[in-house]
Amino acid sequence: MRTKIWTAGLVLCAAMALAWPADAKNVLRWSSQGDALTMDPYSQNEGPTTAMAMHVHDPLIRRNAKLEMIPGLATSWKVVTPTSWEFKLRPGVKFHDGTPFTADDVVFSLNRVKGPGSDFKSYIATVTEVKKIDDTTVHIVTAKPTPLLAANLTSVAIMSKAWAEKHNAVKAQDFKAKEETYSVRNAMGTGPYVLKIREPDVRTVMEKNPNWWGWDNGNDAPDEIVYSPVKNAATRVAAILSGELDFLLDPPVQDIARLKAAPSLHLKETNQIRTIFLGMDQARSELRSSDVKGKNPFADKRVRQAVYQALDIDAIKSKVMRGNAIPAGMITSPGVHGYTKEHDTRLKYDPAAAKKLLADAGYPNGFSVKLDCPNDRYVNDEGICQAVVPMLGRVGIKVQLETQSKTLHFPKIQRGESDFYMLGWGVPTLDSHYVFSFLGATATPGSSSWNFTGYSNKRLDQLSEAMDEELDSAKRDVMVAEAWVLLNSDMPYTPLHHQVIAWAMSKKIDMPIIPNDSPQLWLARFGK
Amino acid sequence: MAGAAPLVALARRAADSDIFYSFRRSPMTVAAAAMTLVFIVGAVFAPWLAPHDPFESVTVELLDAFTPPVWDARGDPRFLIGTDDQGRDVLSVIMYGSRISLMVGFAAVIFSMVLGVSLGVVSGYAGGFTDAVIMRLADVKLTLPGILVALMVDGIARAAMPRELHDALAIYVVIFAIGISGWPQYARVTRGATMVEKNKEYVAAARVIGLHPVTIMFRHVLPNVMGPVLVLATLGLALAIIAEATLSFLGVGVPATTPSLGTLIRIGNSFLFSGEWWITLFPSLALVLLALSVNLLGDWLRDALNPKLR
Repeated sequence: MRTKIWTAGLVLCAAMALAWPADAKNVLRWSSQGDALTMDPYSQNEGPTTAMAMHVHDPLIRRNAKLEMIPGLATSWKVVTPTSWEFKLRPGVKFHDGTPFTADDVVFSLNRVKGPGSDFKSYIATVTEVKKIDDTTVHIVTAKPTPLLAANLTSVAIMSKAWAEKHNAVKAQDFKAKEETYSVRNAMGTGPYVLKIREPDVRTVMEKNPNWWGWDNGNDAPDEIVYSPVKNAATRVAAILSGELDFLLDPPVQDIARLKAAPSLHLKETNQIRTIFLGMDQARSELRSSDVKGKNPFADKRVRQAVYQALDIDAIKSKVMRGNAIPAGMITSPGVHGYTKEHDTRLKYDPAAAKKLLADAGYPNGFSVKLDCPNDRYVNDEGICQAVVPMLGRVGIKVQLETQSKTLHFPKIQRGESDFYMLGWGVPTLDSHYVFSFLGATATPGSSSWNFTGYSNKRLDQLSEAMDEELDSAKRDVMVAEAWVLLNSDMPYTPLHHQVIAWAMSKKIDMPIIPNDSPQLWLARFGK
Repeated sequence: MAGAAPLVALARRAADSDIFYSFRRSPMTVAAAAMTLVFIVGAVFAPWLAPHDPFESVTVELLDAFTPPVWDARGDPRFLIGTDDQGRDVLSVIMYGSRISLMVGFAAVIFSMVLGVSLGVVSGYAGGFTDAVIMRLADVKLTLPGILVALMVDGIARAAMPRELHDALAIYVVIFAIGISGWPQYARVTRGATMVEKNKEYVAAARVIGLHPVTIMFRHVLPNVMGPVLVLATLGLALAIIAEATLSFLGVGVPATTPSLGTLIRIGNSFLFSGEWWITLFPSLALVLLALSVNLLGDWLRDALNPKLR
């Protein structure tokens, strides 16, 4: 009997030893602090969510590592008339389930983006009709000239029509209402990776799609990608130092020096296209969380300016961010069209002036308010908010801080339930209009606006619409500049800083860092 | 002078007692008692004794953040053992943090003691079916590790209550969570002692004169079984303090805005790799010292109250 067990054990060991080399694939294990919010590509317009979707799906037009536009599912595109675009689609492309990709899928996808539940409506707000001309040609008709249409489409993943219909996922998931649809945990695209396992907040496993049209010698690209979010910063750092991870998207700023010194890792740094800021609800008649009743302190511009000038952004930069931030005066970063040094100049840090502004506005003893912050979205988001509390306290604004995961924070501010909140904004289109249309223009019910402050300025609304269709770039630049002056002087938001990002990766792989902080893992190459 | 005489006599009597004698004989116990006293005084009088008020926004400067202890060249004499990531004095934060830790510890122990002793006395005195039910409940409870029960209670509270309410009640939830996991020990010890006591003559006498069973249980039996319970409670206090720190370290204990030793250790943990060791080391040391001192006191009390060891 005993001999039998031994023999069985030996056979098993031998079998495992033999099986091992056959299984030796290139697995890329990576992590960051929070998971993608959903697998539905149109449900949440949030950086990490879209970054994950773009591994499974292809957009019509992709951005490369330098953020230049390159052909995706469309091989070429041109403006036929000022309000009509022609897209030539890539022939012979197949979805992961083997069904062929055709113009029908493009028509279906763009209509889904425009439909209920979608958080991507603003990208193609001017599109009135998507026409299939033949299997590889699509015409997109817009209500008015839309020079940014191509740039906007880089954020829109293309889904499979047949798959969505089969699984009853024709409409985008309503995230705010916590809707569960098939598309929340499953995805079907044409992209470089096939979604295999999706366990929200635990792990997401993707396998290489060997038939992807976009491989440029993809032999050394990851065969499998395993993503597992790790909320605790020290645990993430320990994991990459010990070799349990190959890529860490968001090493905590205090550990960058140490990761740089680690012999098994390399660290890449770049300025990110993302600005962090605080939004203040200025339209309500009364704040929910304040001791001031009957009126809204934030409705007074002097109060908003007081908040702005009470913040010692240089202290936040040196202590909370350890130098990895660029203090901001506008909600857009260098590299985006419309950015200028003048617009990006901050008001001076001046607590005395802030106190005086509060007194002038009728709050000599300040007031209380609750600040909502995410704790797993931006670089040191919780730390920034903790630093903001005593700074505002010194001018008399008593802030009660509520930090929670982005999966609770975003729905809360999207439901319009926050008086005072932190948000960060990246600009995937690399044009200021994106900022005005999402954050500056008046929010209308049913739109995908992220302006939760109630801020409304007619002139800015006009400018935002006009610049969307202006083809003369000189005229357009004048509008963009005027809009920035308006947004900066109305101060619906207090800008904090532009993020600087660092990616830590194992020396086993090489991969370009991308300034929008959305990894393109198909560009990773395993060394020999 | 005349008024002081009885007090002096009382002090002299206490000093002559067996317990105090064994206390004096053990230098370790004296040291532990002194350390516990330092912690309690430091915590209770933190607003007056702490060098800074870590919750007063006017005095907390972000620019002071990450100052190392004074003996380091970059140290600042204002902050004896350095500052944390928000510029708060670590020593002051520990003093304020120990308040929460001690408060939760004491409250949790009292809660489980009251619950456990009551059930134990009833169980031992009544016997039969009541005894069986209570003891089986205790057995079931003992199969589940304490920290797991505490996590479960916290999870249910989180799911059942809206966030604002949960934050407001967080401390009570933690007290309940820790307290509820400790009662079977008290119940078992009390039950055993009660079963011994209830056959003694004074109990029989009380029953003969027609006293109500509840009166007998709590007026006559209870005082005679309190010795071992006190020992358990002292040892339990150390465990409760550690349980609270564990829960807070895992982020499910007291909210981050009311830092206890556990939350302080958790915050400092993020800065271990970057070399700011003092933010987590000193709260950890404080926790170890506090738990160790209380535990040593409990050990001594157990030996002093055990006639066999004298």
